[in-house]
Formats: sequence, C-alpha cells, structure tokens
Amino acid sequence: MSEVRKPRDPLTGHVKALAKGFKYLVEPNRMTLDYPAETMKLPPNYRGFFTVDDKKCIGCSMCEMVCPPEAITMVPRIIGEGGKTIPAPEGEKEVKGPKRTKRPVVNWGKCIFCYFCVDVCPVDAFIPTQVHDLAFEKDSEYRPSYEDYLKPPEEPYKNSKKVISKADLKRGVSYEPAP
Amino acid sequence: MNIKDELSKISTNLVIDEKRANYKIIIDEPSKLIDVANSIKNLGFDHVVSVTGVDYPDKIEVIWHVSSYSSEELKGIDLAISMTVKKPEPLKQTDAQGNINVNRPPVTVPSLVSVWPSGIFSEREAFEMFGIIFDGHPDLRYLMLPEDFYGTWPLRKDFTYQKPKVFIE
Amino acid sequence: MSEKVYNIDDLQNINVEGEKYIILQIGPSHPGSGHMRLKVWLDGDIIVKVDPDIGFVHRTSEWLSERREWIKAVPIVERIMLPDTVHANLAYVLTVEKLLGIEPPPRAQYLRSLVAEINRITSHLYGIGIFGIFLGSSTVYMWAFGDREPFIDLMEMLTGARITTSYIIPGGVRWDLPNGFKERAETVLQYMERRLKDYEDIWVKNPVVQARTINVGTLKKEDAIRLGVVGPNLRASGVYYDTRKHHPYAAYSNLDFEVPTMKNGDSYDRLLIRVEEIKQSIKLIRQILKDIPEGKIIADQIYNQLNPVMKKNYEEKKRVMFPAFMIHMRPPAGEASAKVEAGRGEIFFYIKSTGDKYPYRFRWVTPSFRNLPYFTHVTVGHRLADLPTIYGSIDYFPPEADR
Ligand code: SF4
Ligand code: SF4
Repeated sequence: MSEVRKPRDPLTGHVKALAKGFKYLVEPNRMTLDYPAETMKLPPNYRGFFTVDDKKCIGCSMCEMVCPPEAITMVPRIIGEGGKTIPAPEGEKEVKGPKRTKRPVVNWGKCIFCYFCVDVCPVDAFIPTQVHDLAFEKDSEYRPSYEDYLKPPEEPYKNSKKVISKADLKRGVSYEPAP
Repeated sequence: MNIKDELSKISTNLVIDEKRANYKIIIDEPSKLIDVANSIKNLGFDHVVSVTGVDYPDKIEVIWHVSSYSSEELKGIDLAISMTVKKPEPLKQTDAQGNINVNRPPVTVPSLVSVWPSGIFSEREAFEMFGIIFDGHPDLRYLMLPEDFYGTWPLRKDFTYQKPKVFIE
Repeated sequence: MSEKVYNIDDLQNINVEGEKYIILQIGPSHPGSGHMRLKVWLDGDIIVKVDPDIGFVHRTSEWLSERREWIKAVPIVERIMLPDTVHANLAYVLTVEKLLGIEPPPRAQYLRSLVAEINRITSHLYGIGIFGIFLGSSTVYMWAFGDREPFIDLMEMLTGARITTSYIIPGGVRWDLPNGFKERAETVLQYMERRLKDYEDIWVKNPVVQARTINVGTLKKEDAIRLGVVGPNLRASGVYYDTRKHHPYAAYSNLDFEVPTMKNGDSYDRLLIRVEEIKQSIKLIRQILKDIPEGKIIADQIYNQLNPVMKKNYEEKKRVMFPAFMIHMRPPAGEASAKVEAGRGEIFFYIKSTGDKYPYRFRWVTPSFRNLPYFTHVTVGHRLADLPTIYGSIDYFPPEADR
C-alpha cells in the first residue's frame, strides 16, 4: 500500500488532474434523463402505485394486517346487491344475493411502496403498475375513496418519449427508446 | 486457548449457545462486576459493542456486549455480560390539580467505562432510555433525548406517550 | 499542528470553564451529512474539545419496532440507514432467522451477498462523494453520486426499488435474478473499473487532496481498538477485522476476497480503504454471478406454506409471495444477536423474543454511532479547518447514528 500512499510530485499530480478534467470538459460523461420529455419505462417488478381487483378480492384483511405504516383501511362494501349475481373470478363459486364484505383502500400519504400487501394477498388481487411520479395537490387526494382507488393510476406525461435505461461502458447509464 | 474453559474460570454463571457462538456471563453480585469485567478484558475482549437494558415488570437486566479486535481466536465470539437489578417501587404522588404522577426512580449499576472506554456513548444511551445510572461514568448526560424526558424512561415497558401540552392564547 | 501539544487522553479532564476558550456551535441544521451539532471549544483556531450533540434525527426505531409485528421492522431499519438499506435489512432478518431456526437455501444466500455488495459500492461512493464536498471539490461529489446510478439501477432491476429495497425476508429473498442481469452487471463493473482510474487522477492522487488529508486525523491502532470504532475506519488504522470474515453470514464463507487494511490511520488512509473496498466488491460481484447455484430462493418451511396461487406465481415469475406466517410470526422465546458488515461498518442486532407477536427487546447499534469517538478523540489538537476533513473522512451519517 505504501506505493499508493506516496504523495505524487505536485507537478505531475496537478497536470494529471487538470488533463483529466479537461478531457471530461470536452467529452462530458452525461447521464441525464431529459424528464419529462423522456420518461422511463421501468422494470416489470418496479414498485409503483397499485390498485385492487374488486372481483378477485375476498375481503380477508391480510393486506391491512401486514402494512407496516398502517396505510391500508378496510372499507365496508356490499356486493351482489338486490340478489344480482356478481361475476366471480375463474374457478370460484359465484356470489348470489347481497353480501357484506370489506375492501382495502390505500392512503398514499402513508404508503411506503414496500409491496408487502401485494405479496401477502392470498388471491393476488392487487394490480401493480410502474407509475411512480404522481403528485397530489390537496391533502385529501392522498386518501382516495374506494371508487377512486379502483381507477388505475394515471401516468403523467403520457405523450413523452418512453426510454429504458441501459448499462453503458462509456457513460455508465444511457437511455434508449423502449421497445 | 479454550475460550469456554477460560470463561468458566472467571464465572460459574456461564450460559453458552454453541451454535451461534454466543456466550453470556451472568453476574449476581454487583460488587463483582468490575473484577469480572477486568478479567474478561485481560482475556482479550477489548471493546464494547453495545450497552443496553431489558425491562421486566420488577427488574431491569443490563447487558454489555463485548467483543475483540486484537485476538485472532476471539474475533468471532460475542460475549454478553448481564446483570439484573431490582426496580424500586414506583412512587405515586397526587399534585394540586389532582393528577396522579407516577415517579419511577432510576436504578444504579457500576459503570464499565473505566474498563472499556468504548462504552461511553452506549452507556449514556442506556441511561436516558432505561433510567440506569452508571455509577462511575465520567460524563453521564442525556445523549439523544431532550432533558425534560427525565423520569419517563421511554424504553421501559410502562412508558406511555403523552402529547406535550400546547398552550394557545 | 499546533505548537501547544494536547494529549488526546486528557480530553475528559480538560477544564473548559470560563472565558478562555471560544465555543463554536457547528450545526444543528445539516452541517455536513445530516442534522447534528458539534460543540467545539477553540483556543485560537486549535480545537481543544469537541462535544458531539446527536439526537436531532432520533426516530425511536427501537421503540417502534417493539410495538409492531416482526415483519414490520424491516422497513423501519431500512429507513434509518438510507445509503445502506440492504445491510440493515439483512442484519435484522439474520437475527430473526436465528430465532426461528430457518436456514435460507444457497441461491438465496448468494443473492443476499450480491445485493449487499452492490449496496456496499453505492455506500462507499456516497461516502467518497460527501468527503469530496467537505474538501470543497464538487467535481468528485457529482462524479460519485452519478456513478452510484448504474449500481442503483442494478438494485432496481433485481429488487424493484432503488434504495429502500425490502428485498430480504426471513427464509430467503423476494425476487430471483431477472433475465439479462449478468450481462448488465458485467458492463457496469467494467465501467466502474475504468472510472476508478479517473478518480485516481482527479481526486485520490490529487496533490491538493493529499496535502489536506495526509497525517490529518490520525487514529493509531491501539486507540482504534480501545475506542471500538468500526468498519473501513478501523481497517484504515491497521486492524484486521471484517465481520464478513469473522462472523461469516450469507454466502461469504464460500467466497474468496481480501480484507484490505492500511497502516497509518489518517484521513487519507480512510479514503484509500474505501477505494480498495470498491475493488474488492467488484471482484466479489463477479465471483457471485459466476458461482451462483441453481435452486430455490426461499426456505422450504416458507415455501410449503404458500397457497396454490402463490406457488404458481413463484414458478412463473420467480416471485416469492408472503404466506400468512409472515404476519403471524412468533419466534420461539430466546435471544439472538447478529452482526453484519455494512458499508460504514458493523451493524449489531440483539433481539429478545418471548414467543409473542412483537419483539420483546429490539436493540441495534449502527456503525456511525460507534464511530462517534472520532469527534471527541481525533479532532483534538487540530486546527478548525481540519475538522471538515476528519468529519468527511469517517463517513459519518447522523440519521444512522441516532436511529
Ligand atoms: S405497499 Fe406497503 S405501505 Fe403501501 S399499502 Fe402496501 S403494505 Fe402498506
Ligand atoms: S389481502 Fe387481498 S383478498 Fe385480502 S382483503 Fe386484501 S386485497 Fe382483498
């Protein structure tokens, strides 16, 4: 290690540092994403906003129990009103007649996107998306009603160019158009 | 050096967890603590990893976790020195407004900073969190909490969180 | 150095009462890498005593974790050590696994080591970048933070989140290696190797840096042992101790790597050791990706509890879902401790279970907390202008120290 430690003689040291700086001045190592003109298409397991499939959910409250910041509230819900039949997910019995049950609603102000709820759901009822850059104007928008929560999150800057990030030998990260 | 033999020479109260290479020495006499600590230090355990308490309904267990940087054989070993002290009865006082204030007195144990200076910050933390007064600590002040937490001992199990009173004109 | 020689050990005894010394309050609003206050007593511009006042970002992680189900502590410990999330997660899960008596399968062990090493590189780059800005070089700050990005992208590809990965769960990990990960990782590693040469010219061997760091903030080997400092800082003082070697966890007992140590223990050595460790981590990542065995990524005890929907997900997407066990986990009564070598040093966990829904006692010590003696012991006798050098070189992170 002593060789690493040896102080460089000042002239060589300064010249080398300046030369390197000059090299990057001419040929900068830019890895900036031109957001929002370009937006990223994220990997499929990226944890973004998510919603729930009303038909699949069985109202078991497991997601509420596992949520670390207690962001999920179970809201009461009556399914099969007036004896109507609710179409059930494949391979399950159909629900007849009104039935009291519960459905989860996420408070986005508290959610930390750990996806414990998504993973603990016994029927895999959550629908994850990769949308992550939503902003809320009012405090109340953090806490959607169940109906609002069911709508899939709307991606901002829909018309921007979609890019994916790629490891690059020269720049570290570069972006190319998404397939 | 067989660490097990050496440790059992120091104290007969040795709890061993072979699988995890965890050793625990239980001290029953507060007066023995410093002597035992000194002999452990002479074996080669040279620094304190953590000082903490465990609160039980009637007693507090104080645990020093020590380990070694200098001895090749001891580097993979965790040794805990544990000492249990009885908690004094909480004193109940009724103040002029009729509120009942429960005063939970701190407990006192000898400090091991003279043996292992590396425990100096950890002991301060254990003091504010559990109300353990380390007798002989050179600088026993509050570390992380504000001083008005004195007496609440937040990590004891009977701690209840009280919202600070806000006065609005 | 000053003409007047202060003995470091007299720190406790020096009388700072009266008006002889100037008291300088540095902080508490983000003086360096986070909120903390340094109360500095100065004789002229020579530091006589430093009293670190921490706790401005104390987040009661122990208190919170003792009042929650076991699995809920994973996000809590991660958010305390933001540049080092994987290690905090890993250390906690190792302790819980010891209590539960679950052993993860080999592939999961390798994946754990893999994300831990990627995380170590990002953590060291963070440290080097912050050190740069402490010395007034915004170039290296920008470079290091930019070069974290390819590695964070790797973490994102594997775990689904950039920083707060919550990737490691009792029994294994949550996702398997995605397609194309190996090739991408290889490109990133080659890029980093080339960049390290650039760092050398512009920063590590820059005469300005050498002049400001060599022989500044020296902690001798005996003192480092006595004060119980941890991690790269300890190894910079010449102590051969690395939790990965001495308390092997994850896949480290099967991996071949060196633990670099330095001799002098000054600020410059603490910079060099981080560069050396990045090189070792690059070597380790290559090795892991070459040697990683096939097989399950979750222990059988957990796998058998998955319901058919979850099992289908596991086979198709290589994604581990949580059985109800994760919520209702009640590790048998007992106590366990674990140590993990994080980027900044050793994390220590001690957990006591009474077989209940919540941990009975949740104790953890983070590396920055154990590096606090640097402020009280190493700064004394230096000029005030050297304080940023010392602070920057120990890679101290207040939110982590306060827990
Ligand atoms: S992602 Fe995590 S924090 Fe958000 S609702 Fe689900 S469990 Fe709760
Ligand atoms: S865990 Fe799944 S099925 Fe159960 S309440 Fe939540 S979303 Fe519905």
